[in-house]
Amino acid sequence: MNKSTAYPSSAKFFHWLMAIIIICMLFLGVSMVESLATWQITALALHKSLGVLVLVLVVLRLINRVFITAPALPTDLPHWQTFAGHLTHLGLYTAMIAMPLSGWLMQSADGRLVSVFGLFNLPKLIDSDLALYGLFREMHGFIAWGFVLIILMHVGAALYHGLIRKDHVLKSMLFSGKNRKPF
Amino acid sequence: MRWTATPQTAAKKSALLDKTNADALQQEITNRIDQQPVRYNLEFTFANSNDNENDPTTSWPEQRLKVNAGTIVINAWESQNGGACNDINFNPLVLPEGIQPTEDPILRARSATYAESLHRRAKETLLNKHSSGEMQ
Repeated sequence: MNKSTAYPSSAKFFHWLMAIIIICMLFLGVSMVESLATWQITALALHKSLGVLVLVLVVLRLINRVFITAPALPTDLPHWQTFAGHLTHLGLYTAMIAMPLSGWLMQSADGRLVSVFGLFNLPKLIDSDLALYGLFREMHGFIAWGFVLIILMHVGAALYHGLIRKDHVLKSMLFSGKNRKPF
Repeated sequence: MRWTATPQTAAKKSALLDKTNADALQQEITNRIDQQPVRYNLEFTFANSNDNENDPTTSWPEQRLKVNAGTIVINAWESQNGGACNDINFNPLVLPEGIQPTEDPILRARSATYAESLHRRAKETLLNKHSSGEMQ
């Protein structure tokens, strides 16, 4: 049986780094598509570069996930809550992969290269096609709103564990001296 | 640098247009193109060091250096729906190498607006393709 009550530091590092980037990206994405401001071009370039960073991070995170042992959920948790928890995590990982991929695909379908912090360009995944651009552009938006919804569920559940049930679940992802574990 | 495209022959006075027709301007130009090619003089105007390049609402003095850069000739027209223009993002910041945009904020606003219109057109193209596919 897995008796650890906290995630290893590597998992916490990926979780919090990606949480910050993704929440910034969602707000940036929603505000830049509505804006005519002069910073819009800079925001777009930053959004694309950070999107590539998220894609790289999620791949590393999934590799790391294979090697670490996640702490078990409390055994007295209702079955549907355990199930909802796993489903939410699956949704979060799916969105973390689908967001940058649909972004990259829509840029390719629009005949554009994705520049990574002005250092190099990603190759085109597909040929230019307006209908496919429409498809991936719509997907990018829908997945983003779905992502916001799942994040709210995730945060809600974490707060429920931390503030109401007062079990180890929220603490297992926090940086507190007591739970610090080596890699 | 600014540029203008000035028609060689003037269009009909707006008073002569059919005001009940929503496509009156489009019809006027296509009728003219059907009769003979429509020509525009392309002219570049060069700024002096003290001219404001970034504010499109200020005009530059008349005596600035002007160069005739060529003639734009429109020989034919086609419907916008399904035409070659459908897939193009008319973003004024997508420029060939050697041309740099100024800091003009209107260019940024237009870039964002054209991105949104391409987005809507792409959605329409996707939905039309889907519904026409179903009917077959």
